[in-house]
Amino acid sequence: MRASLRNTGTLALLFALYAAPAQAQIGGFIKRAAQKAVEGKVQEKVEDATPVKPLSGDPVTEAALNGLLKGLSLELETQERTKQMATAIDAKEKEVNDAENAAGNEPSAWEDANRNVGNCISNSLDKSSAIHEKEMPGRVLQLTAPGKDNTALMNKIQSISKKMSEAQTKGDMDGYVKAMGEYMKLLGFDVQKDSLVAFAACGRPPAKPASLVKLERLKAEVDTLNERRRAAETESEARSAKAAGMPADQYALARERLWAWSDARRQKKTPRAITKEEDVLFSTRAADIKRVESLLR
Amino acid sequence: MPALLLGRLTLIAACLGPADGARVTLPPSRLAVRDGTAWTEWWNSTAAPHRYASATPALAPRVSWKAGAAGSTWGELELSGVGEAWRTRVIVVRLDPRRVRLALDTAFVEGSAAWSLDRVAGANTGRGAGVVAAFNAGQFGRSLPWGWVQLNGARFLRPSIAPLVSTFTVAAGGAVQLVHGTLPDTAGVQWAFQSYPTLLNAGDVPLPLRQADCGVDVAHRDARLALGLDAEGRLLIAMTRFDGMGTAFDRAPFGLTTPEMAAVMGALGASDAVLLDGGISAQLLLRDAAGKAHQWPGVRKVPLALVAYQRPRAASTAP
Repeated sequence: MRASLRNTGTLALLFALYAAPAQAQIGGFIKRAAQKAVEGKVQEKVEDATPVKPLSGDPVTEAALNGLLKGLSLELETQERTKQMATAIDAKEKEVNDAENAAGNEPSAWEDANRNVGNCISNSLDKSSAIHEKEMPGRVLQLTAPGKDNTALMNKIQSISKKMSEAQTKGDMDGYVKAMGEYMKLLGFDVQKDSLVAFAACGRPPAKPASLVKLERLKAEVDTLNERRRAAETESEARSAKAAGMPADQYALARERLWAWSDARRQKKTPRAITKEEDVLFSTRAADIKRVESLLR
Repeated sequence: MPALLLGRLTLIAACLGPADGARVTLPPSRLAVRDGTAWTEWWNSTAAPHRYASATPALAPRVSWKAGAAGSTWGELELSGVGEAWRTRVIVVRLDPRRVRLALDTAFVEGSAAWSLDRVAGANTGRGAGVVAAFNAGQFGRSLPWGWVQLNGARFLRPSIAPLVSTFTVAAGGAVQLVHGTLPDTAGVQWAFQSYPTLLNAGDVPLPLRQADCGVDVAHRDARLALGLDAEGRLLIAMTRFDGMGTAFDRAPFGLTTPEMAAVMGALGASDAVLLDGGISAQLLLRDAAGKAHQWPGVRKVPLALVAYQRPRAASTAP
């Protein structure tokens, strides 16, 4: 990803300097370059985060246990909701399986046909691209010949370069593609014509069969449900820690210590991962802990 | 160790350091390895290497390697450190991805994580058939793994990206990769999971693991499990167990710090490595050459595990 970002950055710079790399000139190539630009920006955002110093796992005191039990009680309330979400996901996954069975070979046949046409189009665009690359220096010289007033041209190029840069910053793929198309047009290249040549030679990509459309929709729904479930769990963790009056990290460690104690009790073994004081404390509160035990398995 | 804890430590890890440029060093610690009846110190926080170019002579040869099931070898080390790490056993497994088939396994019951070693412990039946080794993979929240999970070519959970996140992938042909801080190309990936923090990146120990106050808790001790790749492309798995009272205490989550675990992986010959969920989640099964399963169970059931299966022998061609 880092390399992609660097490449895309270089790409934009090269455009500003009148020399567009062949691979990113038209059609799918432009989209691919734009996609990389978008992904690169997503990564950059993550890296901008600020560090947080965590707390290490201290033995659980009575006050901490009281807080922990409050948090766990809250978790119990949300546990039912996440269980329901899991059931819904299972049901949706069954729908996916049924749809896959019903579709038979149709999706893979479409993928094969689409790949073949795609490869043919890609090869055709490569050829056009190679021709443009050869013609590029001449076009640039023509446009920037000495004695010509290049002010308007330079302004136009700067404006396009700015649009590309802004689109890249926003992660706006469509905007990036559009700006790149403007640049090609400025140099006198007809991107649409290249596509028409490719379609004439290869035909159009086949339409996606309804069975595949349905399958993709169902898979996307499963994906969304899974992420919702994960988000619900994360949210529940944060709310529970807040209710416990502890930083999230401390809550998680205290929870783990209680889990280890609970596991040892279930196995009728001496709890070993915690201190003797914690063992005594947890034992005296065994009835309270029992109420939240389903979370500690 | 729960995902939540490490999440805050590492997803946002960045080393800002004080304005005067002075760095806060690692908390004092050292590691010695048992060599017969003697202990030989091989790592010290005051002179911790920043880079591991190859296995460290002081540590790697001390592993008593034994033949495992096809494509694997395993061994143990006895370490002595400070505090709760005063006696730590390290179980080390080496897997050759050319000789084993790797796959991820999940298990859920009523929405709760339900994978444990029991699922693959039976040698001849069900899911245990052909299993060479198995261990929990990634970092876990309440019931789901953190980050990207790809199961049999299909995405199960979406990826996350951060500087100290590593992504382990298995391609359809069996080739493995451990990529750090960025997402690898997802095309052709059959199995994938993510974990954190990165312990080694092309032999280098990441800066947040070399000094305090860089967002990673370099003092916290816990039972550890790490996955690495060595220069020959083999998987190196290391799990620590508290060894203070023989095996009686072996499930207690005492153990090494994150920098110490990076040192263990580097000194054993890993060039790239990442920590997996340790603490009460850590669990490992391996099968020896005779087919006997050796198990180090965890306390909690987990949502995801990496399982290595014996590759079926290639069909012999008629003479």
